[in-house]
Amino acid sequence: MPPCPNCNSEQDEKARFCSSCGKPLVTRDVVEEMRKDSHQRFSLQRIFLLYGILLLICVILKFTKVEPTWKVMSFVGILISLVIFIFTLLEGNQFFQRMFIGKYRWWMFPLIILAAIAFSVVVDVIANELSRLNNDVFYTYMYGDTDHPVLWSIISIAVQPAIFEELAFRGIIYDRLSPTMDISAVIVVSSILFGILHLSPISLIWLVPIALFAAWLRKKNGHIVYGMLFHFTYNLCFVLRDAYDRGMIFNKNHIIWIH
Amino acid sequence: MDPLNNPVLRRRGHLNIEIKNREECYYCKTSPLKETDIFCPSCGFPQNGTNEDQVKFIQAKKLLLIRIDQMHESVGRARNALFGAAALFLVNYLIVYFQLNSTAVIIEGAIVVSLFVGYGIWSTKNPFPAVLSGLITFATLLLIYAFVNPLSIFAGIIWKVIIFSALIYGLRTAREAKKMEEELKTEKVDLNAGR
Repeated sequence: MPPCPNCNSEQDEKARFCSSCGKPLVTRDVVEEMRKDSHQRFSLQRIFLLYGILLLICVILKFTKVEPTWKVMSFVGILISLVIFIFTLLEGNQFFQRMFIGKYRWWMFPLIILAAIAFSVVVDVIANELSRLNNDVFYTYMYGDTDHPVLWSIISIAVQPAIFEELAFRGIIYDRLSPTMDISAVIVVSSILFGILHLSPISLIWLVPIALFAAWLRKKNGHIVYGMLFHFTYNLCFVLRDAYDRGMIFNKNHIIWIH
Repeated sequence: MDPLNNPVLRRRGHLNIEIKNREECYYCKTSPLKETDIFCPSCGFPQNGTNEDQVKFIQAKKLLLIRIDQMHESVGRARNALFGAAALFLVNYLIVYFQLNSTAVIIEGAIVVSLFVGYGIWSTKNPFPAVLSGLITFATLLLIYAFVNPLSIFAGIIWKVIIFSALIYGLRTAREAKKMEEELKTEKVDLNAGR
């Protein structure tokens, strides 16, 4: 242990205070503490702002009498993506590096795809049980007026949310919660926010576990690519299931596989 | 020793410091202290200092503890607010259920009520994330109800304001309390302050 910086007297190895003058031996960097504190406050403000904007867009779409046509859905999708993209730009250059650099193992990709398919099957069973209770407007129906309803559904239901929701919840919100609480709490809080933003309390039964899994993947591997893949595959399963139910794919009457 | 449960700090009445064992720190019970140690190397208590300094040290720590206790009280109020929110939603969903007789309403109500009860229980161990989640969930649900039925904004308005205030104040104090607990463990008491 180095001598006391104040009185220069010798100190024991485990001493935290000088036994001669009483000054603390491990000095706390006051400026660093203040910086950390203001960063934490700023972190929460940014989360509230991002969540608030997304919430407002979703609530207006869901609870006003706007017909969810493909034009409306595309506009809302672009608006949400734009908001999240602006927030990611505000996070700085290193944010993108953090989101994509980490542990990569080739065998994780098929494993995650299988996990997403398994998840979607379980959720499908639960959702079917609750189907009488759920009045959600379903995917390909909204894009029925377009030339390629399945393709548009895949882009707006599977691709766009997988990229931007992961950037928002397992990216910005996850990172900004991290200095304010321990990592397991970060995983839980970011997953709850993800679930609640979908504005359907019944869906929380499956949305929160899905988000927990994606956040756990982020924690284990450091990047959000696995989470994006999981989210994409999971949503894709529902779009394909919906398209199949409506006879739009895997239908022997159709020459084109996905039209 | 956990400073929050330190009997020296928890003792009520006039401070009368009488050190019987010079080898054991009066404040944190670290032992053995050397004869040459004026201050305890673990907590900075002036074991061989003047009685005035010793009293000042304990009083400063006691003051910090009182503030922490007050903050824990407001975190407790935030916890009650979370349980209060659960009760509010329970009543609300029961009323809607009896009006509509819909299973969807009762399932949705069960999820929402369990969510708030869960936050309340979580807040005993980890108050900050629990209160934060509770506050955001509460605000989101009220916003949804306001869009579905604008008149619902005024239903139970006093309760909503009380719950909101308790959660916002609890969120602030939950963080502050944690920081002050750290301070109580590590912060040096300036014995020359006020001289």
